[in-house]
Amino acid sequence: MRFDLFDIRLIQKQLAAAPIVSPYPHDLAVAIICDTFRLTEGVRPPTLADWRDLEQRYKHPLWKEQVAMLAHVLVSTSLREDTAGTLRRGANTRQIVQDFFDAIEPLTAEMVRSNAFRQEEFLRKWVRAVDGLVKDEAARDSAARLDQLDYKKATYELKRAEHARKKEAEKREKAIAEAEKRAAEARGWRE
Amino acid sequence: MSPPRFTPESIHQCWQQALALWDVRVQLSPPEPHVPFRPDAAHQNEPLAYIDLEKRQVFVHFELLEAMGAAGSLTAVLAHEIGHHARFPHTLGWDAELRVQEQRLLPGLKQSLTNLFYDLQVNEVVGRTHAEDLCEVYRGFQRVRKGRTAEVSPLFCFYLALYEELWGRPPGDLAPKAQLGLLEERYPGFRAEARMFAQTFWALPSPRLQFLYFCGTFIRYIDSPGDVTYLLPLGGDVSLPDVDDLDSALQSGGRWEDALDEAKERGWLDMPGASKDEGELDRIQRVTEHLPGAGSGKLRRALVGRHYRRLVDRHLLKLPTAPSQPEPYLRTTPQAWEYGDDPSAIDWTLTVLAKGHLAAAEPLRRELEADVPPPSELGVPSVEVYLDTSGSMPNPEQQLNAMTLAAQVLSASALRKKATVRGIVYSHVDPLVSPWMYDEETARDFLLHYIGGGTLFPFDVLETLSRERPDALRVIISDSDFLANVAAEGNMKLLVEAVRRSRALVAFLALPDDQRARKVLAPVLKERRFRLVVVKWLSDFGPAAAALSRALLEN
Repeated sequence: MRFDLFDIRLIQKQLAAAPIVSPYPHDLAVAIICDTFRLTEGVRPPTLADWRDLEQRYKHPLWKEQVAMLAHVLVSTSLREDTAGTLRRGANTRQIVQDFFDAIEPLTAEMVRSNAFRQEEFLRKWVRAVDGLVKDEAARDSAARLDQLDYKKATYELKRAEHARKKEAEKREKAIAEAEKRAAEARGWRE
Repeated sequence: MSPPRFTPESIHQCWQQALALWDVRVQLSPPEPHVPFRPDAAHQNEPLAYIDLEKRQVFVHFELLEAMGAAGSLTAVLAHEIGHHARFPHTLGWDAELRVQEQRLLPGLKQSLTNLFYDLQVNEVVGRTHAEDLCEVYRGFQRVRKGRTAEVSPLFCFYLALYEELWGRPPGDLAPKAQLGLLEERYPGFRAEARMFAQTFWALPSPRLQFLYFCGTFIRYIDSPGDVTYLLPLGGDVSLPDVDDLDSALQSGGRWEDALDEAKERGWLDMPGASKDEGELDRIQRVTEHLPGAGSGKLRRALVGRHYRRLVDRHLLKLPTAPSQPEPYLRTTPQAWEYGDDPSAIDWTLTVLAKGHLAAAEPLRRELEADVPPPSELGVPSVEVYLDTSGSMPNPEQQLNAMTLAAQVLSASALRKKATVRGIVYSHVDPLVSPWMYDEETARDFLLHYIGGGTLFPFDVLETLSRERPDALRVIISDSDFLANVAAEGNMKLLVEAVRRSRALVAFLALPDDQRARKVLAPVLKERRFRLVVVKWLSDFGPAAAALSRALLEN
């Protein structure tokens, strides 16, 4: 059994160096992902029915975008080989794919392309889905880093701030309006 | 003098490393030690390092760096300063643009946050290789400040939390641990916001968008913009923009519209100032009002002066009607053509008519020459402008004052024709009288004066000045109050005498109609040298002044 470690920094460098290409058509992207699974002996990729199920499960156009992005990353970086080296015989690929897409649900392809944090999150979540390890990192550190990068969680926590912010903004608006009124009065010239 | 820890060699080495960190070719003088502004006071209040963006010289407070226990961070500190020169902000023009927007978004902000904004940008680059060194600086700064101020401001805590998130440090590694709980209570979602900011800010595609996001987030940690002051390490290390920078920044509003729209769409801007469409004088007021000391007054006056110059030019500048080098089309008087002259210069029609049969033997030539217009300087007289600045008109620095604009148009027009101008700014008592002025800048500045009381035309000054310079052209800019002043006993006589002594005297008045004026000014209207110009709408003052100056000064 081969066992590869994922070098996130290297993969990010490879991604930055990869030429910009049009998003892959959905069928091609699915084929690339399935081929990645086939690279490991004794691993069966998700069936066509599984993919249909997944499509039914997510139902939003963002999902196809994410599938295309995953295919792009697999093709342009060493993620594909590392994945093949990490997977174990008889791995439940349907579950891997589902866990991964569940975890990255709010990420758009543009976020992954342009934001280094989102890109790292995308890669690390794939590593977690295939039960891999990050190079030069203890599993505990990887988990902490992933927790720090979790966009879904951050968005959820930020909602708590939003309510408070709104109240603060109203208060501020009132204070500014009062200050402006005072300034206008101080300026005071008669018509 | 630098302490022995920092030898010239070690400083040189750090400097070279710092220069290499920025992937651009820069040529800067090596850093110099900072000379404390107040040598007797504790050095915690002195800047750690800064760059003079006019001379492009970096200064470092070596003693403070040592005291902070961050002597090993010299490379990072130098790289930080070079970053201000090389990339953020690079020019003070950009800094001015940000300051103008900042005052629009956070009106009345006492201390600009732009330096913090650049520091975030610079430290992200420096921190890619020197994150721990920068952390040492921030930790050391808090150590030396401890005891002086018990609590770190929410703004600074949030700022430090951003670096914790950016560099993957645990909460409390930079920000004071003891305060984090309180901050989370006071600002729910404090940590989540810092995390989201750190993961979004540096990925934004344009610096304008970055700045709007920065303002939209940081405003939460500013309780009262008018009181906000902060002292951060490397937090005040960029110079201030000058008048020209600010003036061009005030004109750059259009460049921000797209970014503002996008920021609103993303829900970053819930500030009232963001959507307001305000005039340029309001913007000048906003940009300058928070500045301390007498400098703000001068700066405001200079910016207002530039604004009025643009308004004046709108009325006065015109396209040249005749080309500066006219085409030659006038024929010269005929001369005998000689062998060797250009054959195309021969005027055969004239030759045949003049020489008859001998035409072929004695051709005549004529050249073409340009018809140069006669010089138009017709002896423009001296111009005296009497400007009413009573309370019925706004202060020109705060709102567009049409009468001031008219005076500016007249004076600029006269000065461009090489006349001299004198301004008399009056209201109730003690009118301001300028000396004879020869340049536009001085005249513009003088005519921006404002008194703002009742209206009492200074007939005594008119009399004195008309005796002093009898041939001058005099223009009185006022409104219906002038009629009331003239109607007072004895004033009409003074006015008539002044008219007789002047080359011309024009009453340029804002009135709903001219009936009352004709009645009140009847005695002086009989005078050949008196003219009455009535403007019905204040907005017509500028164009009317331009027309008046053409009528008076060009014929």
